[in-house]
Amino acid sequence: MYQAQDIDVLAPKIEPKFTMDHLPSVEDMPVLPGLRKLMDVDLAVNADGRVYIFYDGKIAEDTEYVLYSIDDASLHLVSANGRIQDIGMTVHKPMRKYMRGTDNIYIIEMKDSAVGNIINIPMIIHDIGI
Amino acid sequence: MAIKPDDAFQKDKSMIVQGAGLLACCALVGAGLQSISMTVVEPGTGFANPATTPAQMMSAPSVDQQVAMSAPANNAVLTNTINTPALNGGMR
Repeated sequence: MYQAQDIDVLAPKIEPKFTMDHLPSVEDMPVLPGLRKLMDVDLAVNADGRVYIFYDGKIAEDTEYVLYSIDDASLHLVSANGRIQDIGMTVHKPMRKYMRGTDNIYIIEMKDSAVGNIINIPMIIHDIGI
Repeated sequence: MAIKPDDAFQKDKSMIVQGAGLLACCALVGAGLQSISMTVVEPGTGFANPATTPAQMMSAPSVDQQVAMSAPANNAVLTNTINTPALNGGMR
């Protein structure tokens, strides 16, 4: 028998708070704040289409792959459990033509101006054509 | 699998960089690249050279102003190609 679910849209919402010490569950916070709000980030591409993200903080979860949307020129980190984090900047036009032909990306951690951990992970490109 | 900086950057002679550019600069110099051309396309941001303020970059008089700078490590010379239309948001 169908039972109506009690939904109170006017009730005050308790927003899950994100800190590096306390990461809410994916259900509570499927999208993390933009990476650039939390740390310094550089995005780079070379003529061969090698794409790099440099960052100097701590990424909340290990990144499984990166999603590059050509339609809105956005770049999102996606973790193994599906949590999404925008890098926090729109990919500029001069970079786009070099980025659309690649299928992987280097994620480079910087610590005190020195190179830390480097990983190479898949980059999935979305191009709906809008 | 962790990757060594040499493997990540060995082919790079020129790059387009979005952001302040400092992290990319430090990484490339740290990897031992002696020279690289970096084109910074982020509007209103500074580059590794502290003498180049965002205001100075915004007021660059020519379309392509070559600013040579010396990086602190390895005596590497980096060329920061500043593109004025990009700095004014024209390439967004």
